[in-house]
Amino acid sequence: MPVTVRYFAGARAAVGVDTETREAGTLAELVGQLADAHGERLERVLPACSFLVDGTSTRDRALVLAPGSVVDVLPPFAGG
Amino acid sequence: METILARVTEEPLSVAEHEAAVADKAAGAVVSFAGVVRDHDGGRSVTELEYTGHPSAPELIAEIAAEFAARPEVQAVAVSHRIGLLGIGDVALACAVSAAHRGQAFTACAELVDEVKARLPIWKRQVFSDGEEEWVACP
Repeated sequence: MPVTVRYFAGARAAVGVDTETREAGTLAELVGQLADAHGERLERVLPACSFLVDGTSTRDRALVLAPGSVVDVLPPFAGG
Repeated sequence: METILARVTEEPLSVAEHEAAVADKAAGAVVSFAGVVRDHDGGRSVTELEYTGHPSAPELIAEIAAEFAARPEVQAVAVSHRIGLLGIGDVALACAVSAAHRGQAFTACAELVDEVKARLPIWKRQVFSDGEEEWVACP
């Protein structure tokens, strides 16, 4: 399933791109792939991240991704 | 009862504007808060901060403000978060809450700040005087 991944803030800095396309069936599969593909810096950030799948916040890694889903990788918020 | 102001903006913030916005004849108390860029963090000297927001941040801040405005003891709520490059002393977060009595206004304003910090998808990049930088709270 092709899915679009968008990175923000510290996750974006770890990866070096804003967005990329990946093939994955579940959020867990996708996250594993991202860690393998982008190396140690993103691997460190990912466990702290929450994810927005098509605009809905989730930490459920078993979530099944629909083709064309947009997954946002959100590091811990630090406003204020 | 009312959300007067809830926004994410690149413009400078004025706490006084937020206080004036929530003033109400029925309100005996106005409590405000300014989150200000300070020149140190963890013992290191900070020269600048950059805040960036997720595209959903304006929607989220409006949602949080509406929740507080819906509290029966709260008269009015105004809250803004600034994004972009900020200097030392700039206001990053401005809030004001009015209520009939001070206890209610103090509590609501403090909880509003906590809620914004916990739920608003905004991030902070900190640049230190030695040129190093970090994304705050990011491992």
